[in-house]
Amino acid sequence: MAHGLLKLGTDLNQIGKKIARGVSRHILHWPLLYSLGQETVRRGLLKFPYESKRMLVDYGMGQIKEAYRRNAVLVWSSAFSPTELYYALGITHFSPEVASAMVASFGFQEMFLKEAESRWWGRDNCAFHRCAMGGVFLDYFPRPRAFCASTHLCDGAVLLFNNLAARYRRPFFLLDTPLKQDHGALNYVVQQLKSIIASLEELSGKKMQAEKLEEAVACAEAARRELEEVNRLRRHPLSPFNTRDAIAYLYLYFNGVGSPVTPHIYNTLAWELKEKINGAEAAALKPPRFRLLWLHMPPIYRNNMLAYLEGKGARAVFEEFSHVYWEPMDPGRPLHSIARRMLSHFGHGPVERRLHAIKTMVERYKVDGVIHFSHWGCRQNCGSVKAIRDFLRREGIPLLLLDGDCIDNRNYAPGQVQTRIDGFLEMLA
Amino acid sequence: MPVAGIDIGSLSTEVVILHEGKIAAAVILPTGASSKTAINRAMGQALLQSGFSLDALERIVATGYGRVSVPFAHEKVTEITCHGRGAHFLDPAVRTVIDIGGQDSKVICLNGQGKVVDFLMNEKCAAGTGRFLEVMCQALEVDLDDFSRLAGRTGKTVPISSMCTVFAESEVVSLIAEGYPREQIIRGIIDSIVERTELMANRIGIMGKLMMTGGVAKNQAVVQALQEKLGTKIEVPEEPQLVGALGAALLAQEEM
Repeated sequence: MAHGLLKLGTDLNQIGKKIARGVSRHILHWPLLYSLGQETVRRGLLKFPYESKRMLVDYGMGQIKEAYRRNAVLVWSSAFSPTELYYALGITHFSPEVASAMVASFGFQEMFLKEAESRWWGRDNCAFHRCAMGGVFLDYFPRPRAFCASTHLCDGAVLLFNNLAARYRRPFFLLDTPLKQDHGALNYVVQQLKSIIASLEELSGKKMQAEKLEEAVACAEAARRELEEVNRLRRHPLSPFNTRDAIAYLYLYFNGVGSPVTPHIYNTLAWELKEKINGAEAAALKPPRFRLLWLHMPPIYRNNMLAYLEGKGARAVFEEFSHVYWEPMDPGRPLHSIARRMLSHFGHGPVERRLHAIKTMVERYKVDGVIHFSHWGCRQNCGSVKAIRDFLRREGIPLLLLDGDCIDNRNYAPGQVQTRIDGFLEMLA
Repeated sequence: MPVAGIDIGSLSTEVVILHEGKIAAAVILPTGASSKTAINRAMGQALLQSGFSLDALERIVATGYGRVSVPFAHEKVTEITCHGRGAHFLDPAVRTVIDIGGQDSKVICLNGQGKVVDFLMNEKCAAGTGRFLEVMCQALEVDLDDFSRLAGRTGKTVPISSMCTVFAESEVVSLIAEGYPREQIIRGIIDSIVERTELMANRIGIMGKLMMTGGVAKNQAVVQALQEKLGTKIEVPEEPQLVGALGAALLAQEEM
């Protein structure tokens, strides 16, 4: 009798979970939900520390709304592939890696990760990809018409996208990014971009207009300039903007390059930072005791790592994903500009490029130490740890190596991390 | 004025009271299930030994994983800094400290002033720590004190391939069932600990004179094997388990 009741209870629990998932899935696929969200944000019903963050959330919701529209020509695009093409063509794009980050920021990652793991996606895989797969299996994400991934910076993405394309039976456009930066490499990428444009034209039934592409690249260039201004302000000793604040704005780095909204948001952020710095000067606030550079991403799930640092008087004043590494873009040569930006990424090619970028950031932001977060499953990032360590030791810059995961919180042990952070700060003192 | 350092580890709690530059009391107790009880008991015994009252202690520095739970501590400092400070006090020529405690192991690099310039800790796993050793002893039904003695009886080793403490324990149980002599299994366990420590030491790079601290340093067989593996002499203080608490007490003294 007791066993029967227990079984009935378990079954009802499972049924309840399935219904809850079905309902939530249905609601999330409903574009009106995001319109309501936008209205909530626009009417000021949600509080944001920065007006630019409000604009960012509004913009992000708008993009998600478009992605869920029934007739949307939606391309799933890997995090590092160029988004100017989509803006120029007027088609919608969606990054599963960014979606994973959003899922983790809302605290739902465990359900997604477990779903992927139950279907043989091992825990050694990058959790950005594993979580995305969970979203696919659970059918939470908008359905794609095509896939596009570039080979630079993240080789796991190519495999993920290949798998997804086969699963959805949709075309997959691969953008092969050579390690060299010479003329041949540049032309090779440009030719591929042309080929992808042709495929996207066929897919969407829209024709790429030269002036639209120029416009998108002009927006990308305007965003670059505004981001440089934001970064210039972040050098100020009293800038309150830290890596925890910056994570949300990385949405623009991954999804907003080529959009006219992006430079506007950065411009607003720069203005707000100026105001805050002036306010801090007027109030004679003290700068943080230690200024730190954060390498790779911090964990996105709810955690207190960066807040803990702040509480100890140390501020992660800059993170490498916000570094403007590429040269000004020329709207007159849009595809060359995009190709050049991709090839010149400091994380692509020999590790010396990344070391050079780190040196630039260390000097530019006058940091006292560096924290390298080794995201489990990211070979590109973890593979260069020794070179970074040797380099920083030669330069006399203290380094803290933190092993962890940006998305999967199940191995996060706050006490262990805090001891390492405390030890590092004692070393800096 | 007397000062104290208290080191609350996962396996043991230590207290050192310093008075006029000399050790007035030193206590080591198992932490057990409640770190609060261990803190009170260890401090109580140390006060009894030294003849001071808690109020008479001018400054108390707490360290170890349970440092946050010491209600009477004036300051909390990590075991990284404290082991470095303690090792430097015992031998100012020491530049590298290997501390293998109950739940973690670390390699600490010091400068000439005993300040930590770099450190590396084990990954989030008990392999190669005091807890690992303790679990293996239980599986083998051997006292920690007998561990070194038994290891010295043989030159042969049965390799332990599992890194995880739980898997290693079942591997040891299987090896016992297969009839391997305990001495050879013990050598395999020691090699496993030494390999992990060597890996960490090589990653950070050993500089100058090397000292080993923490409870595992009491195990002569581990120290001997590590010496052979690293190809360098390892200094072990008289009571390696007290170095963290000693460092904390020294920091308390310096702060005055």
